[in-house]
Amino acid sequence: MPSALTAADWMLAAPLLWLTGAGVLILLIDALRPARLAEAVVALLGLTGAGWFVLPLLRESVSGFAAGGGAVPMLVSTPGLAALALLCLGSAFVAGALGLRRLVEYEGGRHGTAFWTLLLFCPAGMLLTLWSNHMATLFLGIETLSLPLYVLAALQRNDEHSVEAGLKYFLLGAFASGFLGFGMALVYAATGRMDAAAGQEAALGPMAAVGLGMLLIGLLFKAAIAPFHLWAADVYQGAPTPVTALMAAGTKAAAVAALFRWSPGIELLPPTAWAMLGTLTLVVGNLSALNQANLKRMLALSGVAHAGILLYALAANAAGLRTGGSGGEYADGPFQSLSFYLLAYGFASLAAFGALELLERHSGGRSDDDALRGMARRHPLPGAVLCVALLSLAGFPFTAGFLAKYFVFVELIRVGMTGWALAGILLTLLAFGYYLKALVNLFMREPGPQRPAMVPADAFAAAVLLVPAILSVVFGVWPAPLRL
Amino acid sequence: MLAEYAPLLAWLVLVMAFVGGLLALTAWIGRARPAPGKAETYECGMQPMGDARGRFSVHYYLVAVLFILFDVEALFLVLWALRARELGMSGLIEVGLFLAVLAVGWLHIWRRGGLEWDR
Repeated sequence: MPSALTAADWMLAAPLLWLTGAGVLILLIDALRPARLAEAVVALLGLTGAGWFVLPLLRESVSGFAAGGGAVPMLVSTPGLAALALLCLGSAFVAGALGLRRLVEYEGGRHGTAFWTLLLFCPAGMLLTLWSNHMATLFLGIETLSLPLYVLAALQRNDEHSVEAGLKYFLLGAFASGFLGFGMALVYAATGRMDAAAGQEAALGPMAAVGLGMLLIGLLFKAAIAPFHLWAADVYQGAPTPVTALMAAGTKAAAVAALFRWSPGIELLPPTAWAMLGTLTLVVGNLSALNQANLKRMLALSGVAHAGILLYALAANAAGLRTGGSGGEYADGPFQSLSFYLLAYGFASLAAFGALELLERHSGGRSDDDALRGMARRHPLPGAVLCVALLSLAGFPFTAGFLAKYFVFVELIRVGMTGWALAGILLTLLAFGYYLKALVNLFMREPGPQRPAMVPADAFAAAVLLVPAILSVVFGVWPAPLRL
Repeated sequence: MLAEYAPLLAWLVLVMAFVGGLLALTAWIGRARPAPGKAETYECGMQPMGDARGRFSVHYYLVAVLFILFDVEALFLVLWALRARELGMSGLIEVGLFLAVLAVGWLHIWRRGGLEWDR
């Protein structure tokens, strides 16, 4: 029998209903009385309204939708996860502001409705993924965030790179979803449980082990962690830059946070395994980013490297769980460092991809080093935003990126994995190589001949971009509010 | 627990034995009289024409996707209908919301010309 929803259920459901409701409303507007301005207003109101519903979740942890009236809630929100939810909504907002000119007006505005609707459904999936505490909500969340992204990546359908990105993301993503779903089925068959703690059962048979492994592969793919990262460079580069910003900030936050929340269930992996995976990802991401002559591709591969550092937080968490032995109730340190890192990385990548989008409007849509040479001197505002973003991504002191790395490595040292922390710090220094190279190219070289502007830059997008850039600096000196 | 699956195993063995047996029988009893006509592609007794890799309208794909969408909708409705009385008014409201969302999608497809063949 369906039981009535509790107040906690409504708190968690409200942002999701608001987002999907706004999406359906946009479809209705387009069907009955097409109005492009109304669609944009409804979409941006949908995102801000959902953010307003998430605000109360910043203050307290909420669990809702206890499965069948049982003890296991299907959705769990903590203040840290609510902050990441706000980041996901914010990145969709930034993608919308950036896409106003480039994507909404593409092909005479034929795809505006699709863009806005998908832009609302995608963060709904991200929120579900962040809060998922049950395999059903995890799978639903990952699919709801992925399917709109496949379409959004291919939205510029006359651009072969965009179509290639969409197809690659779709084929590989569908494959990863297959792993995820089959892994869940095996875990359920072996343990009879579908909640996040299913893997913590005392005696895990081989079937549950294989299932957890497959579930892990599915999540690692979505988070673009080596050796499941190969799609990231092509997809980030080919997708329209506003969509790339959404993928880099939002999808990364949702996927890595889900990986963190589900990792205690994957007890097969000792802390060193997480640290090894993180180091591998860091090495692979950094080395491939060093060699790129395209800023977008470089940022994509550096995103892989950032995911590697995030895995150190998982390692610290796993180590804490082993020594603490209190089944998932270990101190919040590792999660705090993870969520701070994701927020810092999210702000910086929103600012970076956003500024890149504004610069691309003057470079004929190109993002290679040759086209961007000296561009920051000619266009100071996007140039300054990009500068702050790249410094924060590199981990320059007085930016949020520096403190984020610091917090993660402190957690790692606290559980006694000093060697791994040292390796990570040294590898992080490598990242300065390519971030500074990009800055040199943007600021210190003579600009090439001015190309005709593809679409005029608009003040709204530039103003929206200032927010993540300023936040990157503010939280670099005053991190306390984000230690949730 | 595994004993419950014994009939399934028996069925699997029977199926394989049946198919394998038939194939073996035709190979043993049947006489092979190869002729050029037999090696050709069978197309309802006609001379095969054209290439199997002919191009066809991408619109088929859209129609197929829309068909699957509303097919699955019907499937969900059957599940609800089987338990409609027990689910009562709240079940009716939920299924109504589900239908309303799909109806908006359908309206959108219709108005955007997704259901028109010549476009």
